[in-house]
Amino acid sequence: MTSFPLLLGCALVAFGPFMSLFFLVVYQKSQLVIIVTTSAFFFLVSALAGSFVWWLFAAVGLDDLVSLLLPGVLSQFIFRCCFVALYHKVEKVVRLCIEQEDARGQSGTNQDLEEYDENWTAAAKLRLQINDASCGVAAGVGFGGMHAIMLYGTLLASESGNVGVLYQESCPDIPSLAQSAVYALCFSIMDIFWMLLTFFGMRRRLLYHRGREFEDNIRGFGSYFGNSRSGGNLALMFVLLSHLGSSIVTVASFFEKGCYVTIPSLVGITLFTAYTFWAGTARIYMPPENSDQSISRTASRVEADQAPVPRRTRMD
Amino acid sequence: MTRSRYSDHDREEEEDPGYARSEGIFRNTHQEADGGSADDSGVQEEGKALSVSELLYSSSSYYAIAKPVSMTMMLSALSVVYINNEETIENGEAAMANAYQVFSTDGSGGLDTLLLSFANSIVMVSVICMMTFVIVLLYKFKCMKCLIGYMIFCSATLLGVLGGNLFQTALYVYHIPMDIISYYFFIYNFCVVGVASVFWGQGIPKYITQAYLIATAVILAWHLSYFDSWTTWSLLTMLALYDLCAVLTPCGPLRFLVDLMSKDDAPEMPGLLYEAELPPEARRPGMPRGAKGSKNTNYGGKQYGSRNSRGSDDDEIMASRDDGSGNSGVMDNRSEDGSGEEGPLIDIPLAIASVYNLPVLVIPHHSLATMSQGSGGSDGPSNSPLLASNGANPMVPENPTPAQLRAEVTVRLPKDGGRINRVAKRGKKVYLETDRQGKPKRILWVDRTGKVFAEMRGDDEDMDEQNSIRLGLGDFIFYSVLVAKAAQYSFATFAACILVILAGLGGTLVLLSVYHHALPALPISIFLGVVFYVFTRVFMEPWIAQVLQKPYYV
Repeated sequence: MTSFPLLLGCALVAFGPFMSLFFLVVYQKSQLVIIVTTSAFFFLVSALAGSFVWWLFAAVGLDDLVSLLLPGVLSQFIFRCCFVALYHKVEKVVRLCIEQEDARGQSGTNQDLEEYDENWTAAAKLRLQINDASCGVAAGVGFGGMHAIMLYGTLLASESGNVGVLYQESCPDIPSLAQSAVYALCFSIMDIFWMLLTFFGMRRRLLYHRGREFEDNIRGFGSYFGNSRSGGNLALMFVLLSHLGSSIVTVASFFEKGCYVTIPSLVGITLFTAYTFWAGTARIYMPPENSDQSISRTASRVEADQAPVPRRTRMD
Repeated sequence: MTRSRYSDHDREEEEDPGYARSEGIFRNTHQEADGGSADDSGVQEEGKALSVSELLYSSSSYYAIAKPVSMTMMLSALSVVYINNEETIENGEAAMANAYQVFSTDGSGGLDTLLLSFANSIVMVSVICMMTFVIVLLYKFKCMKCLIGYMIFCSATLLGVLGGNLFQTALYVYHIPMDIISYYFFIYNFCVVGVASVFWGQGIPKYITQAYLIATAVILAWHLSYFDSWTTWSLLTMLALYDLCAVLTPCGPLRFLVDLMSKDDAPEMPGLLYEAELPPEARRPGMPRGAKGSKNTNYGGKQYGSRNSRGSDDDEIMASRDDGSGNSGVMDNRSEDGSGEEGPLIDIPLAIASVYNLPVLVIPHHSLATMSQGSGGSDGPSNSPLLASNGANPMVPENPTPAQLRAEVTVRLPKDGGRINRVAKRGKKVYLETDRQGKPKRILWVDRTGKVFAEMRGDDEDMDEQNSIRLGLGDFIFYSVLVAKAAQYSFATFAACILVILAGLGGTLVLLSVYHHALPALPISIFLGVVFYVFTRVFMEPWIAQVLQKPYYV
């Protein structure tokens, strides 16, 4: 039987990012747990779609690497974008609720204001929990976590009952479990950044029509993508290409000792993805405060109206 | 009995005339405060607007209920996979087939097997339906001793016999030595504590009760997983359809049960519902948030003026004569002349009215005969009232008998004080005292001797009792059966089914927040589970196997 320490170690390597982010960040907030569950569901549907397309190709005899990998990558990209689009719709509903709450408080009597203040606190809490950064991380955790569970978890479960340790030609020096665990680790981390970039890209596409951009759109380190529609498209394209590149790199496992190419390349792509996210969006990740889509704008306006000392906002 | 619905405190909300479900709480609150003024926001669209508190409540409800459901499903899957071997599965299948299947199937697949499995499922669901009607009839005619006795017997049998079978199988599979005395000692204690925690509950921490409810679901799911695959999946499908009809159709037994349990004096039926606590900031829409003169009351009935009440640590309050001191926690309304706006009226026992020095205005018709009887030690009904009040009621005796102390009188509550509402608790008529913000302070009741007893309630206890969501134990069981059966096949189907059941649960909660009445919890999750099980098995698993062959990764 595959030894328990090996199983445990590989599981921790593969599921470490997902579990740590889930329990340390996401688990405390109910809204983020809902986002994790929904994004995991979207991954499941995307995997089903990709596998269905592969099954169709396989049924007609076109069972090769292209039909195996390409539909999976494309379906995951599409469903990531669909998830973010759904998130925007839900966010709009939440923003409408908060605006109604604000409008009610402004026009109510003193008695209503007392109740309004408490509800506004609840609204503030709700608003603070659902911003692009926290929801992007949560969605990445859900999407990537389910990705790791379905692909690597299946392997882990199948190997747990076997006698002996499986080695493959692509990596004769380390067990197949460990090799796949590294793949799962890299993809889990990249899934989080891909989802954050998808949030960034879809938000810019939502905020800016063709040709328009944020008036304060200064390009530089941390804002290379830029606050514009083209910046959003660039981010989305990067997600698709980096995902495709990562999957293509794993094709080197076809060859003997291919893991000597695959593992360093995957780690390199992971680091490059993280760097690109940081350099491209770190300073401009959150939506600009003067945009109509910004929930925090509502808070700023209400705070300016009601609080005795207005807080500093970006506009100030 | 499977009671699979969300009990979202519909009882209180349905009885509250001020709570309109479809429009959100803000509109209601304004109408009550302003006497029906027009909606001031003007932004709400019909059927679209959700309030912030509803959003928070929905998300917290999902979070609170998803945890125990996930835990139950995982424990069931682990127990089915690891507390079994080929021999036990074979023996279990044979035993279940002999006990439950009317039409024998060979499990070889094909249309015949499918049709026979559905036929067996229809028979089983029909029996469940008939049993549910019997239980509804028992509940309707308040045969609570019979009903609760039967439920205690079932629960004890489940924990003792079926739980013992599970334990015995674990000992057998893992070759754990145990003598028979220790075995029966353990099972007996497990069973007794379980029954006590589920049906009695007092003095037992809530997590113990929740753990036993989860254990009940796991044990039953483990046994039901012994059905062969065809029977299991067809049974789950038929149960989902049955749940849909039973809760939503007018003639459904579960619909009857929900309506009966929603009534004001409906006795509680323990043992069927898992209650999960919500965080304090997620309050049910309609619950007062601490506003002055809270517009909504949680327990239905009329709206009363609030009252300033002092807390008291006494657990027992003696009914007292009007000696001017009393143990009253209520602002003495003798200082109020009753001029200007007046507080509302309520019928409460004379003993409680005397404790709080509330002026008796009128003796209700049903209490006249009792009040006109001679009081102990007095010459007859006294013309001087027991309590100082604005108008003396000649029928109120000076030295009331226990029967007179229990009889109801009409009193006027202070305009700006707390409230007293009549509620039903464990089949008993009690009175809930709340402060002016609507926060429950204590529960009062009058015993046979006319003494007033008060049960003090801590803040946390109040929040727990009021701020929770309930899910039927049947839902836990059949979710677990589905996941356990999927886990018996492969890990991928197990993971997919767990996720889609949680997604279905979320979808049901969304519908609950939209429609605001009891909904079946099984259909969406079970249908999604069955569909995704099939798709995962047919499409995704071969794809995953192909991807991991070298291994690649996508």
